[in-house]
Amino acid sequence: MAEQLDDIDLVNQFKTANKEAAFTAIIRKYQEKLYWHIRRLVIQHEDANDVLQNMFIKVWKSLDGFREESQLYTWLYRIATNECLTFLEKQKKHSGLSMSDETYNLSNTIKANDHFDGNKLEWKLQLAIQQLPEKQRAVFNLRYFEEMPYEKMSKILETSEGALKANYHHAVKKIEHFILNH
Amino acid sequence: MKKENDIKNELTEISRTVADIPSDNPHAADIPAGYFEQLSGEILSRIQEDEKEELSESLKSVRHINVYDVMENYFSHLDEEIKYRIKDEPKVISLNKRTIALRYLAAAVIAGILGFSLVNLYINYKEKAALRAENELAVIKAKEILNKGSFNIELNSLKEEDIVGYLAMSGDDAHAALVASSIDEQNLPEAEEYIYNENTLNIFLNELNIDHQTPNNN
Repeated sequence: MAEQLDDIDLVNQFKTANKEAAFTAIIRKYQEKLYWHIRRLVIQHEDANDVLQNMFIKVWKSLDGFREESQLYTWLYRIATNECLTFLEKQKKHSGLSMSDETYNLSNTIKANDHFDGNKLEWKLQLAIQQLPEKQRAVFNLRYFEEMPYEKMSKILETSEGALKANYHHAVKKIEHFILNH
Repeated sequence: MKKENDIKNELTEISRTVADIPSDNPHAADIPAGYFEQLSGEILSRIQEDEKEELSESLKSVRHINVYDVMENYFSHLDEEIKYRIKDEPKVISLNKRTIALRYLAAAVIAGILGFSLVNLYINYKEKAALRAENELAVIKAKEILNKGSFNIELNSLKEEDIVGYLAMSGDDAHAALVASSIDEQNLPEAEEYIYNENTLNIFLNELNIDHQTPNNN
């Protein structure tokens, strides 16, 4: 029943009525989209699971103060993206990796996947994405995999639509270059 | 549909190579079975655990905050104050018990006085010996009490101080000494013990035709 409610109703229900039921409905509505958004950025399932759970716990704590003029959907994505970037930043600091080391590290993680096949384009694409800077990676993922309009991306990443278009263009060109050369 | 086409066209314009990459998700195979079904429950459990921890943390944080205050230097003088109070605390023996005990003492003493005096009188009378002055006084007093039937009244009219004084003074009197030895309040026996020799006294009192009543029949 709660799953059929729109975001405004779910938020109102969370604030005024059955908190847990409303929150469960919100998780179920967005968990898969958010999981994949996170997973593409942090690569490993265990890390994606940690980031996703932590992100939803933050949502639980902040939802009472959520202003309804912004969309729940974009708000969730913004929290998820920030959590990913924070996670990657921590990992980098923790292991003392530079940007190129981190790219190498994430590429190795992909290659270590049981299903990895270096001859398949979809796996090559995954390796190519890891060459991008973190924020550009997020822009590419949201546009390419989730087909998100620039307007929404702008709210999530708090960047102008023009800057996002330029970012996406550069990202695609870098990926093309990687695929053609590997 | 238009949105998807727009995005596809945009990508094709930038790079046909990237646009032609199959959109299959290569990571889809390594998600644990039932992951999304269980995720919301898992997250809610973690939230509940976190909230419990936060609550116990906030309780911990107020553990050492004392909302009550105490006079300055209260604890530095507390031990002295307690010692002082222990030292000055009078031994608590209820007035009732003390009074009853003294009444028994008085009964025993008076009975003793009467008994000894009257025994002496009786013996002396039988032997036709001269009465001593104190015996005469005792006999007079005893007769007066007997005539008036005022044994209990006389007994109750005695002051505690007089009884104690008499007991101290009459150390050579066997009965009085016996009773006086019990005057130490710390070893004060139960009331019944004061009349342990009541039978003996009763014999004399009966022989002298004294209507003996126990003091607690007042």
